[in-house]
Amino acid sequence: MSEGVVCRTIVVLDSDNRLLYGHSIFWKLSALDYVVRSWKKKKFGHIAVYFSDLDEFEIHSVMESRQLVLNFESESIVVVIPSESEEAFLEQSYDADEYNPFGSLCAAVKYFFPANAKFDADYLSDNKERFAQIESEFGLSVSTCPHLLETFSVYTPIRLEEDFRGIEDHRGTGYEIAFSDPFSLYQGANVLVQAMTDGAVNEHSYSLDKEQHVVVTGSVPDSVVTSVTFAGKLVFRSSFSLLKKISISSSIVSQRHVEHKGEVITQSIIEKRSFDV
Amino acid sequence: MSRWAQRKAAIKAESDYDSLTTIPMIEFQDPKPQLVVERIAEAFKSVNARRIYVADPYLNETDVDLVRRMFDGVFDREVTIITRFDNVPAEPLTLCSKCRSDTAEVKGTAGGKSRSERRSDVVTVVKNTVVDLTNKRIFKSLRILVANVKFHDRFIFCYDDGSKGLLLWCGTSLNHFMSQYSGIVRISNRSFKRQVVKFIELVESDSKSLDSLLAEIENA
Repeated sequence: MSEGVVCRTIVVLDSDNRLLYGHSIFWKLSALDYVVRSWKKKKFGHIAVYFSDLDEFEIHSVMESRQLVLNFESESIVVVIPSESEEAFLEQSYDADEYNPFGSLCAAVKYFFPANAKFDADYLSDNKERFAQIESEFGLSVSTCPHLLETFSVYTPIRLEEDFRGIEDHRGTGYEIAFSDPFSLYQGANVLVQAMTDGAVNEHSYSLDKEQHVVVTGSVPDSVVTSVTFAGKLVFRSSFSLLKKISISSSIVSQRHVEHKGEVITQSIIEKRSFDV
Repeated sequence: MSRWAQRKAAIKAESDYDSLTTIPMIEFQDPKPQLVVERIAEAFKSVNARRIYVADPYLNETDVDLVRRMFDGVFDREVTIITRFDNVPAEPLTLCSKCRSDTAEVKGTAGGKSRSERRSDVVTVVKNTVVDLTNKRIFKSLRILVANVKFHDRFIFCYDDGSKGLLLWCGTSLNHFMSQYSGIVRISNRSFKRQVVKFIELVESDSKSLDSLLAEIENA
């Protein structure tokens, strides 16, 4: 495995070894990461999940040949990767409409999907219990993102994390920003912060480092767009609104028990309360 | 639009499964009534339903208990069942010796009781169940409205102030719940919900209580 990178690969196959879902993640290993060096299998009725860590060369060959071969001692399974492909960049954005498997990271992705649009929209609901088991065990989201059914995605997460917050204290009014770059891959990249307050934009740019930057703009921004470009390429983009007020509507629930015809009925007593923070 | 985006949009439009718009006997090989009861209970709880209407022209002795199981999970609800007790056939019922049909056209007597006696029995059992549930304060109120107008459709509805309401249209009577491939459909059309509210208002102003129905049967 070159330079401590593995391609964490998982495929979900039906009993005919047809691809129901698959992905591979280019993952740079830290000291704490484990590696699974051979294919493992777990069955869920007629659906089986296979997972293994491949090396970069193997995944490039899969994308090239559109075939993923799962080798076991006694047999090998050939999984056909769909023919159509498309690349995208997954941002950290409050209105992102594409599934991003990484909580706080941006990622480059290449999707492989079937060219013909024949799709069984009832497959997921017909097999919802099995998918629920698979998803909770392997952290997948096929049933909430049905367009991922019958696809294979190759993700390259960008290991950069933003820490941003509005400030209003002795340092001034504005915001503070820092980036965590755990593998020191993006030092010196260009960071551009566009902070919006009441429609006015305040732009600030700096060279990415490990320091925390305080930017005094005179107001706490309503919303912020942060982009990071490295070697002329966009590697990070986030957009979000800052919470200035939270309205909470809570239900205060207590319980009551009544005996009726030999059974005990449990009733929730719900009281609505609303307040602002 | 990219081909990926096109595919995604097309699949999203097709993938609209709703656990409350379903034919349970198609969805499950062996549907258990309890499963749908739980789904209905959960759905009404999640919209914080307080005033609930169940309409069914037929009402069996056991149906009030079915309604109770759907809605007893939250304290202090107002539940109203709109019915006509039309299930007791117009003519006394026996099985036809030739076709084993149990339709009401066959004349005869059932257990030696006349239609009005059997109707009175059903209404009395329902009344006792209502009294029992009321005494135990399982609901803030539990009313049975016997509609004077004829109606056919079955539905379960809540429309609390300020909420969009939850309306389920049921393909069959409560007592045939989950049988005969009947379906339930969640209806989100607002104009239709307003029509249902008008139907409920109509019944509220033109209906009788269980006691008046019992008196009516007795005097007939």
